[in-house]
Amino acid sequence: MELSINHYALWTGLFGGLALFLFGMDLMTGALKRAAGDYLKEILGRLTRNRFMGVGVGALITGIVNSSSVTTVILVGFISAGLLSMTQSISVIMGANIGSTVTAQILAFKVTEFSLPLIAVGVLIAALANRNVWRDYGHMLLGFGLVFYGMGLMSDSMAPLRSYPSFTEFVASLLNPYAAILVGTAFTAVIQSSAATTGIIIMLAGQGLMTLETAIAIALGANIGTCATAGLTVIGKPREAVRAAVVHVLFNVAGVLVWVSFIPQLADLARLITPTVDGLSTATRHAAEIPRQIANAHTIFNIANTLLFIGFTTQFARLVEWIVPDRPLSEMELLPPRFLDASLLSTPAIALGNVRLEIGRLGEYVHDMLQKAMPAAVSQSSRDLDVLEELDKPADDLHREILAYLGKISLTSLSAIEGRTLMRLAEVANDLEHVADRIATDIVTSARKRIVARVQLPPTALKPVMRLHGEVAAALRESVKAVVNNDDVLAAEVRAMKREVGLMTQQIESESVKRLSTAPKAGLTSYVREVELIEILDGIFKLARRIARSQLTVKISEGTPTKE
Amino acid sequence: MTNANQPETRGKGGVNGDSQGTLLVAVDFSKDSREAVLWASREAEHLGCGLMILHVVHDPASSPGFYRHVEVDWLRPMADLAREMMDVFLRETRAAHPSLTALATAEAKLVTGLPASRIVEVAKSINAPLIVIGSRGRTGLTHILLGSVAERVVQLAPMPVVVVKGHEEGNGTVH
Repeated sequence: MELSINHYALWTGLFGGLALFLFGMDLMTGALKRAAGDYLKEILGRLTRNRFMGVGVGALITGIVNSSSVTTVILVGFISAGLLSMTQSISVIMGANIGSTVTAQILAFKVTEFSLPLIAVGVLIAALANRNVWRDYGHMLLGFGLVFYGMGLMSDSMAPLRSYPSFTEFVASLLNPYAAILVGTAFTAVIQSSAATTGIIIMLAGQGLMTLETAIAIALGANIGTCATAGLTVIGKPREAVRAAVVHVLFNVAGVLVWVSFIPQLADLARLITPTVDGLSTATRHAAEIPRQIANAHTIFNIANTLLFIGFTTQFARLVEWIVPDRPLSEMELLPPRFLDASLLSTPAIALGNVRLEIGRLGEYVHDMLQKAMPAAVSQSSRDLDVLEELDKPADDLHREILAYLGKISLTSLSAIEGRTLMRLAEVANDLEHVADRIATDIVTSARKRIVARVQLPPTALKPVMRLHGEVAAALRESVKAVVNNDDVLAAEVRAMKREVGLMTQQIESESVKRLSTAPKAGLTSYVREVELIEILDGIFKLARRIARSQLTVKISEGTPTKE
Repeated sequence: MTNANQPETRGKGGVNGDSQGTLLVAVDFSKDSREAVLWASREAEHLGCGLMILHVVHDPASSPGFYRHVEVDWLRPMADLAREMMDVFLRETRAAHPSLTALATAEAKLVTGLPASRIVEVAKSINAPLIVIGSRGRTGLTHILLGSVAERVVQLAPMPVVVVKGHEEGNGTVH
């Protein structure tokens, strides 16, 4: 056979068409998310209380946005925020597979004919719209049009492949269902769109380049490959979110395992239920019927899998909890009060002494957080910042426990000086909690902005900032020590650090300005972040001085605190 | 099965009976949990040790939406709802049993994770001499397939575990 294939036309048509398809999907999905996202999220939050509703919600959302990946990414976000549980998400994930069949059904129409009108109308609406929502509707139509147009381009460019032996041999090798599944999985994982894979096989089969059986096997593979998106999304997320992604993989792999031996039967069933097109030659009829047969087979196996597995959501949950166990509760995550002994409430003086010891533990913890904050803030690592952010919760918990205990002490009969001590200790606990908050929110937010803007602290700035950080940490440590030991001299020393730290801050700020004037463009973002960091550290120093002042304000005779 | 009202009954490891450690009772706000808390409070007073009431925030696989059983703002995280349920549970139990001092001064704790392993982890971290837990009796096939959190805790815990059944007030099983 004479080979007269135009490689340039083939590859540009194929990849250009695929690029338009993916860009169109992206445009359409983005517009749909903006236009209907809030409603979809509300539906998801409200209606996932029983598994059948979950399936319905998953199918609806996926059907509307045309992407099961979007549904799973939304789910992961919800689970990470604690709004939805992994067990609730299982049925939604199952529903998402059903929803994804809508796209295949739409693509099986001879959609390429509508592509240019859709693009024209979409652009017109988006251009004329004076409200965002209409612009989004315009983009949806434009996105749809581009998807169809991309499919048309791929289809036209690949038509000559029919007479290209290497390609027909490759497709023939896919008669082995395992090979076809593998190709479907890998291709979908790489382009991150099962709709694109389905679109391509519909188009190839329509050109007579692929049998229905091979197309079904590739579509099954696409179901596995589509899990890759959720898999990438959950990196660094809480365990529950990771479990949801694993459920997605398990369900889709199990579904494929169920069908892999029955592909010919599934193909026969699809042929049986798909209306035939009369009055055409065999080859033309085949080309006209096969896209719908693929879409129908895709719909059948996805609905059948959900029906098959919906009764086993509990077992899925158990299995996935076994596969993905919890991270260990470290001593840091669990900071139970050690000195807040209820039996001491009858002797308030001793109870207050023990509160000082407990504040010492909180102070030590917050000081530790501050020590870890600077390396995490300059490491440019999101993971380090996640860890730092999580450290705030135990501090919050212990702070709450201390306040609750102080509340109980306040109900007992206190002397005037004990009453004042109680107020001051509550202030100290609050200030320590504020320090933890400033670390977990302000320092983390500033560092995240630096990561996004890709600016690092210049080495010349790093050293003085680290020195300032060291001074602030020392002030915090000493002020807490002053409260724990009821040591006024030490508290006064912390108060006296004001001048020294003030000078240091001024010096660093003036150096930053100098750097800005020498490299005004490149240095502006870096300068803003640097000043922000210095202000946060200064804020923490002020809180440390307030703690020392609280100590100085009280003249106490509470008795010796009991040691553990 | 042993009557758990007799605190001298000991499982593996034994209970010291001194003021070391804090007794841990794990709750899911059920009727069985309430009985477990009452039993644990009496036991803590008897042993002269503190009491920690723990709830592990985890949506059970068998009944998803555990924390959303009432009409609530769906944008509130589950941990918040769990804390509210814990507050109500404690308030009601304390009001019904004002004489139990260990209950009045017990520390309430919430952690997220898988219930059985988290309960044992927390128990180890606070040197609990004993874990007390309510049992929701499952029967038949569900029991064979799923077991219960209490059974898992018994398997995992290095310290004695008391399983309290709500409908036989005051009775418990020491494993």
